[in-house]
Amino acid sequence: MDAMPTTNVLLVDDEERFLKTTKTLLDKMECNVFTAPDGRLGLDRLQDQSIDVVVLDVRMPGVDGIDILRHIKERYPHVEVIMLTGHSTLDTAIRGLELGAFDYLTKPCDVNELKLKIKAAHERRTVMLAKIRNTHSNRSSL
Amino acid sequence: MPLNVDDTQQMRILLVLRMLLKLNEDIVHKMNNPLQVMMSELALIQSITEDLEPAVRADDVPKIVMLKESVEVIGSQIKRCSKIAKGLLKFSRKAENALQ
Repeated sequence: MDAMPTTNVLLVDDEERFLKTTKTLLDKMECNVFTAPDGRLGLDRLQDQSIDVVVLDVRMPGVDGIDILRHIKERYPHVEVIMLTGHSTLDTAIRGLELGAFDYLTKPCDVNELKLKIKAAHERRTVMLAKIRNTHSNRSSL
Repeated sequence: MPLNVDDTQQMRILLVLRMLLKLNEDIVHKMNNPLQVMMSELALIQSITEDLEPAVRADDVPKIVMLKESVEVIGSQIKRCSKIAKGLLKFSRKAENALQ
């Protein structure tokens, strides 16, 4: 795996052990990993921390993952979201992509695949933020 | 022998079938979470094995080879379970369409 700049990642999933283990694995690839066991706490984390990429389980008990995604993209449009879906929730994945999610992975997913998606998502965010900064400086130099 | 069922019985049978298909979908979804946990644990075992490998004594190298093989087998079995789950879901979707 190539080295990548530090990425602040937020994992939102109701499986505690998945959060713990995936955090351990992602910590090894220069990621600062934050975790949340549900969407509401995930939104709190987004408010407190500067997050680059969110990995969001779209099917958690008692919450609509798409609602959480919509909230994230409304409040933090440049935060990239990777959805974790089941085989039975591919329709949700399509809706999520339409709402601006970066990509999705079907559970059970390979952690290496997840790492690659996180890397790609962070790269897109970096490019986008640089473009916005450049546009701002171009405007002020006019 | 042909079944002789009236409309009410037919409605009941359809209802039970739909419930079974819904149950099947729920089970498939619930299976994904433990499979995902196992996948992550496996990746952790692989990662720890790689970290420990340079410090392993020459006598123990065959054990590391066996461990790696075993981890690969578990990984392929998880993928096999996932395929079975996908097949069950496909069956459910087909059956639902047939009931429409």
